[in-house]
Amino acid sequence: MKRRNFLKAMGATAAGVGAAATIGAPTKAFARKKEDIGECKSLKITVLTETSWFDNDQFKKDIVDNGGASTNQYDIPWDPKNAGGYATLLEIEQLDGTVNKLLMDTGWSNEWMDYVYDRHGIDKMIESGEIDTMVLTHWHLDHFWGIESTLKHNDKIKIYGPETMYPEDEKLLYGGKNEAKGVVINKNDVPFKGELVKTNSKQFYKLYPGVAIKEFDVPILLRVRGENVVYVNVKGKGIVTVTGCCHPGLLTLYSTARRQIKGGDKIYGCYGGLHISLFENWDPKMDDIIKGAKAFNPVKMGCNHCTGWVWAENAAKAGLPIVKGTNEYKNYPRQSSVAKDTNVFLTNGDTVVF
Amino acid sequence: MTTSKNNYLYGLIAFVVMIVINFALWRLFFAPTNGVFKLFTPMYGFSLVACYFYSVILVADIFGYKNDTGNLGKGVGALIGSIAVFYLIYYVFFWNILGKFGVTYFSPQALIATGGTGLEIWNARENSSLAILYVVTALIWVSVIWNAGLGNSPWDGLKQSAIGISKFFATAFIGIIFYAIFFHPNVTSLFLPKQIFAGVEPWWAETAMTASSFYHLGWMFAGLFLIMFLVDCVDGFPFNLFNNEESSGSWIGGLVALAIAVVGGYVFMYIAEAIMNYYWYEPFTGGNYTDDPRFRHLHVAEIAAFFMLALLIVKVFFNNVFQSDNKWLAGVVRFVVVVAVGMLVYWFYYSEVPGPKFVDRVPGIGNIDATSLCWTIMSLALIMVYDKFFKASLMGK
Repeated sequence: MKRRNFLKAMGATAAGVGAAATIGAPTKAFARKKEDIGECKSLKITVLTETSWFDNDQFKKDIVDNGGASTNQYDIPWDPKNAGGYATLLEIEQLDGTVNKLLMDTGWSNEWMDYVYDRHGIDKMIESGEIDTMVLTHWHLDHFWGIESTLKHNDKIKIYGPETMYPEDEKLLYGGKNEAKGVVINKNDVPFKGELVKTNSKQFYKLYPGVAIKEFDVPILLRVRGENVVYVNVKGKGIVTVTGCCHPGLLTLYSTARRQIKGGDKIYGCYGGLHISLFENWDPKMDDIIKGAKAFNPVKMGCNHCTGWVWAENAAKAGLPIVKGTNEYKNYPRQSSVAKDTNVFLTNGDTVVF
Repeated sequence: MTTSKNNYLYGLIAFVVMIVINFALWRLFFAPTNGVFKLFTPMYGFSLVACYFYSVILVADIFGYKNDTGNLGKGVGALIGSIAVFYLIYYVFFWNILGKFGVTYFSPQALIATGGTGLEIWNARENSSLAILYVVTALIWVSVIWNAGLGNSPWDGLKQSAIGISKFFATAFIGIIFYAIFFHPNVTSLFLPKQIFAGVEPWWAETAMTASSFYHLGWMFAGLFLIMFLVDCVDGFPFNLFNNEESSGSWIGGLVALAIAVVGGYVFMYIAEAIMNYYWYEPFTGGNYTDDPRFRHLHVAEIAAFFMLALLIVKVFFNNVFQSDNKWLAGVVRFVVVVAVGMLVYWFYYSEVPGPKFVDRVPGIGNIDATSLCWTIMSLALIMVYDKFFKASLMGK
C-alpha cells in the first residue's frame, strides 16, 4: 500500500484539511523558473586528494573526546599527524574546445597539500593563472584549513565560499592562526587579498557555460553551516554534481537539478564525497539512499572521502554505477586506514571523465 | 486550584526561574559547543532525557509518588528517587544487565566487543542509545495512555505500592510488545549484515518511504500530545465518561484513549506532513534534510513535543489561562492557546538568532543530528518535576 493512500485512509477529516492545504494553491515547484546554466562538452575530474585524514579511528576519537558531532571544530585539539585534506581539480572542456580549470577546496594540512600540489603541478597552475578560481565547498577543516598552500601561490585567487562563515574562518583566511586548548590547530601566514564571493542559497553562480555553483544553506556537523555544490551540464549526457562532502544529500542535489535547472531532468552522475557512511557504520537510511538513487538512473557515480567504503561497496553490489578507482593512491606517501582492494572509491591520483 | 492574580504572578515567576534552570541544565549537560559534558551527540543525550522523562512518569504517575502535600522534603525525595530510577534503568539495567547478558544492542560495550562493522565507541553508543530511546518511547506512550484511560483501574482500592507495581508490569509488558513491533526491526537493521533472524525487515518501509522507526515516533508523539491535552486541559474527557464512582478509570476508557492516540496521532501526522509538503515539496526516499522522509516523520514528533511543552507551560504555570463553566468553550480556547504558544516555541527554536543562541545550535532546519526533541523532552521533564514534586511546596499549598 502506498504511503499516501494509507494515510488518507486514516481519516476523512484529515483528508479534507490536507487537501485544502496542498491543493488550494500551486506549490513553489511550479512557480519557480528554471535556471539556464548552459552546456559544456565534457568534465574531467582529477582526485588531488580525498584522504582528509588517514586514521579514521583517531579522527573519531578527536571528535568524541571533545563533545561529539555538533561541537565546534575550532575547539578540538586535532591530532596534527592525522591531517590530510580534500581537493579536486575540475577541467571543463567547452563546446569550442577551450578548457577551464577550477580548483575545488584546499585541504587541511599544509604539508600534505604542498606535496599534493607539487605532485600534480597545481602550484604552477595557480601561479600562472591557469587556475584563477577556487570553489570552497564549505568551511570544514579538511576542506579549508590548508588555505595557506593555495594562497602562497596566488593570494588574489578568486574564492567562492558559503556566506555562513564564522569569525575563526575569517581570521584564518585573512592571515592568522587558531588555537584549541592551548594547541595551535591551524595557521595562515599569507593573508588573502583577492575577491571572496560569499554565496547564498537564493541564486546560481554561473562560472562558465555549463558550470554553476549552488549553495545549500544547511546545518552541518562540527558547527559548520552551508555547502557549495558545483553543477555541470554536459551536452548530450546531463547533469553531473561535483561535491566536497555533499552534506545536503546527493538525491536532494539531483532533485534540485530537476526542479531548478534547465535540462536538469537528465541526471548523468556525480563525483565527490557523498557523506553517507562517514564512519563506516550502517543505518537503514543508507538502504534508503541506494533505493532512492536508483530512481534517478545515474550513469556514472564517482565517490570517495566521506561516502564510506561500506556504502560504496553495497551500492555497487546493488547495481548502482559506481566508478572503480585504481591503485594509484598507493604511490602517495600515506593512505587511508579504511582503503580496501575493492577500489569502490576514486582515490588519490585517480581521474574520471564525464 | 483557585485562580487569582497572585497565581498568575507566582506562575510567571516560576516560569522565569524555570527558563534559567533550563538554560543552566542544557549548558551543563547537553550544549554541543559551549556545554560542559556535551552529551547531545545526538542520540546519547536524547535517550538520556527520554529515559529520565519516563522515570518521572514512573515515580509520579505509575507509582503515584507525587508531592501534593506541600512537604518540600517529600519533593526532594521524589526527585532523588526519579534520578535513581533513571540511573538504574539506563546504566544498570540496559547497559550492564540486558545489554551484556541478553540483547547485545542495548550495551555499547557489548556492541564494541562483537567487533562488527563500524562498531566503535561512537557508533556503538549511538546505536545503543537509539534502541533505549525507542524502548522508553514505547513505555512512555503506553504509560500515558494507561493513566489517561484506565487510571489505577483495575486495582483501585489496593495499597499505592501494589497499584504501582501492577501498573508498572502491565504497562511494561504492553510497551515491550509495541517496541518489538514498531521499533525493534529498525534497530536490527543498524548492523551489517542485517539481523534478519532476530527481527523482520522494517515492514513499514514502503508506506513511510524509509525503514527508520522515526515514522512511528511521529504518530506516537502526536498521539501523546492529544492525550496529554485531553487529560490536562479538558479534565480527562472523554475517558472520564466511562468511570464509575469507585474507579479512577475503565477498560473502555483505556481503549478509547488508545484509539485516540493511534487515530488522532495519524491524523495529526497527516495534517502536519501535508503542510510540510506544501512548503518543502514531497519528500523522497533517500533525500536529506527537509527532503528526507525520516526528517518529516521526526519533525512531526518535534512539533508535537513543542505543543506538549506549550501545554505544560500553559497548564502548570498559568493555570490553563482560560476558565469557563462551559467545558467545550474552555477546551477550544485552551487548544488555540496551546497551539499558539507551541508555534511560538517552534518559531523561537528555529529562529535565526535567539533560539540557536539559547540552545547552542547551528541555525537551520532539517538536521536530524540536531533534533529539537532532546531539548524539548528535557524541558518537559523539568516542568513535570516542578509540577509533580515541588509546585505544592513552592506555591504554599
